Amino acid sequence: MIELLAPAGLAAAAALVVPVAIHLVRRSDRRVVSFAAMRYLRARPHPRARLRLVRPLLLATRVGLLAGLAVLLALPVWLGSAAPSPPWVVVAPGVDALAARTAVRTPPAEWHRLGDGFPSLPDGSDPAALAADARLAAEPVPINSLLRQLDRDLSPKVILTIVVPETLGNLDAERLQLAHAATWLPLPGSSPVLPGHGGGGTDAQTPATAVTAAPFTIAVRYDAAGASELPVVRALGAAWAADSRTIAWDIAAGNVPLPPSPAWVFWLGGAAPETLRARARAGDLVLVTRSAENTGEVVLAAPDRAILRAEVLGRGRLLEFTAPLRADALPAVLAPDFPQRLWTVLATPTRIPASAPARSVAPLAIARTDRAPAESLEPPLAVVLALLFLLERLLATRSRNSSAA
Amino acid sequence: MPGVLIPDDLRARLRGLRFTARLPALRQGLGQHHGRSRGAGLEFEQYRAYEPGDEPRRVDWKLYARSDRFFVREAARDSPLSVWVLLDASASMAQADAARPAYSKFAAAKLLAACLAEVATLQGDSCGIASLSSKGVAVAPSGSGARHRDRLWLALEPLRTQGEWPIEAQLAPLWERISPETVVVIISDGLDAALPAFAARLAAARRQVLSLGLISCEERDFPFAGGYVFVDPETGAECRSDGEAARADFLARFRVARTALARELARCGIRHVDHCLDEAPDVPLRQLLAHA
Repeated sequence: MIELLAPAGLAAAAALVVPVAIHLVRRSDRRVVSFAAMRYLRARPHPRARLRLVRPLLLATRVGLLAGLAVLLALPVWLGSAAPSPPWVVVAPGVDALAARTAVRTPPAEWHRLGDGFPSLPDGSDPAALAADARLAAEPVPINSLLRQLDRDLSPKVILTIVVPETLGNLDAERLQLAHAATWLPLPGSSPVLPGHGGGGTDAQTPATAVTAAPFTIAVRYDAAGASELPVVRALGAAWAADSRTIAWDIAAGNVPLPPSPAWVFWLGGAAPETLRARARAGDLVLVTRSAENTGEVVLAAPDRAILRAEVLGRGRLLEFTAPLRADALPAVLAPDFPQRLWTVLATPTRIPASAPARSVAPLAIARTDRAPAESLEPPLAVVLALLFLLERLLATRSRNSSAA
Repeated sequence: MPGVLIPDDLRARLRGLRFTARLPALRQGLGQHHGRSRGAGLEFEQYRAYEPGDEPRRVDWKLYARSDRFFVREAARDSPLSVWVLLDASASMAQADAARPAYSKFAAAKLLAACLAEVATLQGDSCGIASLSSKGVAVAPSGSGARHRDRLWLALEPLRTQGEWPIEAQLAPLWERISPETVVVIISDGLDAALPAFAARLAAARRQVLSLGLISCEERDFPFAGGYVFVDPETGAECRSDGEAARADFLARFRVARTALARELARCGIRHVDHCLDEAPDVPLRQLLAHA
């Protein structure tokens, strides 16, 4: 299949007018001859309406030469044979091979595991291969990168089916874009996590000094039930002050107006009201206690339960404790390092999520831009054109010689 | 050196050619042709009665013994022949083929005239050449011998084509020079309408006329392709035509015209031979002089 990389180059074919015009003009000129037997000659003027071309072979050579040059300017490439290729099914790690085979209803296809070298997926008849594949399925791989490589290397006609776990990890900052026609099929499961791509839990590598602009304000608002949590908050304040952190505390009842942004807002009163969520979207950090509905990422955990979940809201964050901030409801607050751990979580800037629900990161379709498997047709075409040029010179000079003789 | 060179091979082939007199020659003197003069000779012609004044040695005494009368034995004397070559020097004779521009019809006519002078000289006959044009009639007077032949060749050199076929008054001097019983060879292109009439008058006045018509290859084949403007060299008239489109019609009409010319001349007892410029010059001469 031949494709042109720069079809605008075909505009050079307009130059075909030139040789045609030359051969027509030569036709129309009239030579004067002295002819004694003219009385036997009847005037038969050449019919003007009928266009005729002189030396058609030479003209054909010249037209072919110019057309070939125009095609050369249009950068022809050979995209390989247009024979239909079987569809591909790639299964990402985190999805069992047999589960993927039962989930995908495709006519005969090539099955591959998404991994280095794209090994083929066992069909269940060989236990050893199945075991090897299970090891591969537990191995974390950069999914987006591999899919981009596959998209570039695969013949453009291949139809892809991508089987991924519902919770997809090891993503990168760029949304996946594929030129191939692809079906995105999430199955239950989650990706194995690369070391360094913190999928959950604490992240001790993040520097705790991210918030250093001191003094800054922490506004604490509480409702009737929230007053019982104030002692813990004051204890946190004392602990942080002992770490020589300068904080201006603004502790007041729930109806007192909040200080201007930017600020940290602690809300001791259950689910966050809409005004606070708006503050979070504007860039503030909002800490809420006594909420069990948050499904966000767990950023602070005790050995037996999650303590603090974080949710990214607009430009800010909403953090919610899973229980009231009291020693009886949340024994973890009694731990000596709890203030330090909480400060680390609060002061850590918003992190790019490394994992996401697979349905939300389905690849976008883009037009083909890369032509990696294409083979340039310019060298053979150039050789053909050179031969054509020689032929043209031969025809032109030979006819000149014969007409002069 | 003579002006019109005859190539050596052509000159060799001319040796076999002979003028033969169809009409008895009138000229006095010794020649190779059957003449009208009688007298002493080898070839018996007739007996006639003795008249006073006849030499006694010419009386046939054996016949006298048988018939008792005097008879004089007469033999035919072979007479020399006079040949005139008339060249058509009208402008249309300048026609030449594009493939061989130097060899025009008039050049061919001069070469043929030189050949005829050579043939006449070889058999001891006298020869004269005249070129006919409306701009003037040039005459190289008749004579015999190798030196006269060379003079004729020299006289051919400066002849050029111009004008048209001469009118009747311009041809009057020819009648004084070309005596009856002369062989007249007219070399022309046969395109002038007045030519057949002139030839017919010559033939009617007891001149033995031969006609040589020259045809260029372009007239015979009409190899033109594409648009052309054809110009008549004598009248300057123009005709725009397409080569391929006009070819068949022209060739048909030209062939009809040549056939008509040959038939009209033959009706007056004139042998006419057409000669194409790409043929060897001795071929038409051979046809012309074959049984003349």
